[in-house]
Amino acid sequence: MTPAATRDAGAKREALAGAFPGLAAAEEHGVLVVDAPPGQAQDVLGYLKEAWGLNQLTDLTAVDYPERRSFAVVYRLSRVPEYDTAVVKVSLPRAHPELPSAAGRWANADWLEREVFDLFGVNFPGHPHLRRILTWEGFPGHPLRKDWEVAAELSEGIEEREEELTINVGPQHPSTHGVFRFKVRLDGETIVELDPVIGYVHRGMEKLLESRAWHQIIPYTDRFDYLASMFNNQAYVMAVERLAGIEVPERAEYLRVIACELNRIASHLVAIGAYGLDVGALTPILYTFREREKIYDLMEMLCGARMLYSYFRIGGLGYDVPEAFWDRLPAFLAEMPRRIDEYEELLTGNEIFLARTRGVGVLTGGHAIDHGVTGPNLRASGVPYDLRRADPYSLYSAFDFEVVTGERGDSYERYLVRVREMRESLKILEQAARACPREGPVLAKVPKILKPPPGEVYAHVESPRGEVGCYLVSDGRPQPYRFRWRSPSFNHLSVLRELVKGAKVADLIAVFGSIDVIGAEVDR
Amino acid sequence: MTPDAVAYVRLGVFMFWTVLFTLAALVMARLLRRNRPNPVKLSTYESGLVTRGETWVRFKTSYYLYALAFVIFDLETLFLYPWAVAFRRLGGFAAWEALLFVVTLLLGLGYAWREGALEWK
Amino acid sequence: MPAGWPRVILYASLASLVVLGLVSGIVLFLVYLERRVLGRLQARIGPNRVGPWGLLQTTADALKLLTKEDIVPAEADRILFVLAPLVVFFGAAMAFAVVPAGPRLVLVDLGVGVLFVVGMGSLAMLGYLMAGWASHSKYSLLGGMRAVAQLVSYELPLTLALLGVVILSGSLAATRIVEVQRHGWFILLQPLGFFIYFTAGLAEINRSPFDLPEGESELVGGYHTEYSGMRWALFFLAEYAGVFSLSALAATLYLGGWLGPWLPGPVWLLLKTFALVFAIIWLRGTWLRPRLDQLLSFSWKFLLPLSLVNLAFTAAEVYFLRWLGVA
Repeated sequence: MTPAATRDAGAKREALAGAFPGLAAAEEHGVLVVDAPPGQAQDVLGYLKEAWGLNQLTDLTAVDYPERRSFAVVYRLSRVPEYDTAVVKVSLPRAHPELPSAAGRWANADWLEREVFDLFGVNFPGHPHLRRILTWEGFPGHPLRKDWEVAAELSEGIEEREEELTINVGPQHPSTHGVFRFKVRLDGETIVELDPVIGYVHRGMEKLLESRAWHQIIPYTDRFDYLASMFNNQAYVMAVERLAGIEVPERAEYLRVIACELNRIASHLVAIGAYGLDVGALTPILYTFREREKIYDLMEMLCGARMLYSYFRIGGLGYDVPEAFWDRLPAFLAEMPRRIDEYEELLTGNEIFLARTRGVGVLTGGHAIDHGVTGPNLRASGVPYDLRRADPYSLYSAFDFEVVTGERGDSYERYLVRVREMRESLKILEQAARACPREGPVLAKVPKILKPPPGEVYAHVESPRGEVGCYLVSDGRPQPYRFRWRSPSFNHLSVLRELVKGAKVADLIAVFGSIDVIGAEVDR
Repeated sequence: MTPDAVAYVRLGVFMFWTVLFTLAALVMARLLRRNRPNPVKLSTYESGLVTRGETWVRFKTSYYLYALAFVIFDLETLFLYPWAVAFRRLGGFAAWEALLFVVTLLLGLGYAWREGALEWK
Repeated sequence: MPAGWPRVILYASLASLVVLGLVSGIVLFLVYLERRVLGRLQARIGPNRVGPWGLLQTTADALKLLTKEDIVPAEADRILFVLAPLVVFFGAAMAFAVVPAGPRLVLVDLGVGVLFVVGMGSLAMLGYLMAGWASHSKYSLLGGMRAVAQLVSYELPLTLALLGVVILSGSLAATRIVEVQRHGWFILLQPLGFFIYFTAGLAEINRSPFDLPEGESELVGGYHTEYSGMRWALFFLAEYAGVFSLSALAATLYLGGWLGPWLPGPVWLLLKTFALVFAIIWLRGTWLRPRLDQLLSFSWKFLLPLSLVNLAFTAAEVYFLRWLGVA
């Protein structure tokens, strides 16, 4: 058994000290944090991946510390599917920030390093094609550096680079679900090469939120993945609660679970309906939206909003539920299984649907882990990794539900996993509705001006798309020092290129639809 | 004035009016519609970006394979039409002859299939 | 020119105008019908505001399209671009010349009616290719190419399937084919033929599930991506004229055309036609779009051999009927 599997922090530190004498390691909020010098970073990462089985690069980001004249590059590793985690921090001199690329070790390091390069200006020698990813070529400076200021040249338009290309799919295309662009080179209708271009809706959220008070941040998180606002709320408030040591009332936890699982169903309904449209079925989306409206009615009862909820608060919830909610919810739960059968009749068994999606865009489990893929996309590839089970948060360990997996990892199974997950969510909702106390507070006492103690924290939730993570650095002031959003879609999109090589134009749409990506979450 | 001649004249008249009908629709639209072109409006659509690279490329050859197969089969199918009209008046010999013809067609199809001409790449 | 010709031309002109008027009216109604039926299929209502039950909705839409700006892209091949919708609409309208609504109620009782329809059907292919090529847009080009590949592939089974009807009736004239069906509709003798004809026909008019040349989610609008205003409307009209003519022809060739008790012939023809139209709309509401390679394989590797089998089957049928002494 590897030391990591023991989950004993002391044993882990000892094993690490044995392998790398003199390496500093500490425990923060239950997570092992290793401080590696730049020269040793790659060896440490390699050791953690090979010897401890931390096979997924969950996130890679940086924090700027001008007064220390350094950048901290933060690698967050996870083991999939038996969850374990560790963080490797590398301190780089601000004058010459350089660190060997990890793109050979994890496939998604490619895009993540490009992001750190783009926003912080850290160089990664050995990266195959280090260039900007969220901002455009010629953007002045690196916006997440603390000393960066909005420059006048920003108003200049986006400069098109001269490139050999055949066709642009997006940014304005009916099937890009948001604003993306694929530069596609075609031979007839066969895709020879595909290059996803992102950043069209980059709003500099991480920068913006460094200047917002902790309480003010919640509505902004709604807008990352606008189809799953509840989950964004939860990832953020969980991180702050952990950082500030705030206890959430039990009743609020139950209601959070109810809100999230309703939201999961609503999000999957959009995914399935829109997927139908992508492959040319006009009807399913109108059926799925009919039920989505019913969920939105329930959401409106909870918080008054139908899509961007801002329902969660640090320490609980914004509002208590109205009595009528407890009548409407069971009615919905009773009706829904029949409705899901209806969608399945329209799509699941249809010969053409099978022909279009089976064996199309196959993603193997190993490949998925390597690309940082999480959520239904990973589970469809046969990896039973669900944060609700792997690293139980909130009340999820108390509920009985199944982690739905597929076998082949093709577009069809990605669709099917979503359908079956809706049924599992219904199970959770039933249990939660039964167990939720009818009386009691939904919000803990939290100071109006919150100043969490200096420190760092990472909290993650299982959103309908995968692992949504919030990494916060506090320096004890009323705003976060660094706000980092780990978005599943960003990693999922980076895998597309390999999935569609050699496929047809129609497959591009069928595969892209099946990985269910939200543009606002990719670009942030 | 044979019935056939009348039929073809009537067909010609119908064609004439059909063309006139469509032209009338277009002319009427021209009189009614606004017309304010500008360079952006007249640019080619490509998902909101300026198109790059050649559009009128030499297209993939597998399309031509289908076209060739089509020409061959379609011509042969046409030969079957007179036979079909007269089939019931013809004797058994004609039936066997046509069967031979169809079998030949099937063989050709089988050949094209085996050679991969029907695989669209 | 012998005497009597002016009268022939005058009568033909009047009849042509009546047919064109009817076709326009029917197409307008058809679009309305589709939107209503799709609405019901999709758990919504559909247009119900303009006129009684929303009946005037499509008329309003047509008037709107008349006033819409008509854009010809700067880089387009102007002549081909302008010509393409005309060609497509012309091909679609021609089918109506030979559909008989009664023994003498036919615009042109053409001796080679069936062949004429097949030929005019493939004229549309030329129009789609012209539109796709002339637009000088990559999406249009892909759409145009898809249209050609598709038409070329489905033309064959369609032509071969019709041979069955020709053998049984011994004629290519639509009126004669209907008359022969007094003894029994051809769909009873030609179930395979009907299936092949209807499937391949759907592909030929680019209707769902064979709407690849437009393939909205992939090719945006396919060959008509760059079209707007009345030119676009012509493509649209042609598509619905195609739906109607396919159904009317299928009714004529396989369902006994105008034949039927009690009601007048044209009413029977309309009833049968609209039953098929309804099926087409239903298909659109419930099916989805295959991939181009799958679509082509389906035609070449399934429909085409099947239509040859149908041919042999029909020949055997004739001998069997003769043996029974029926025909």
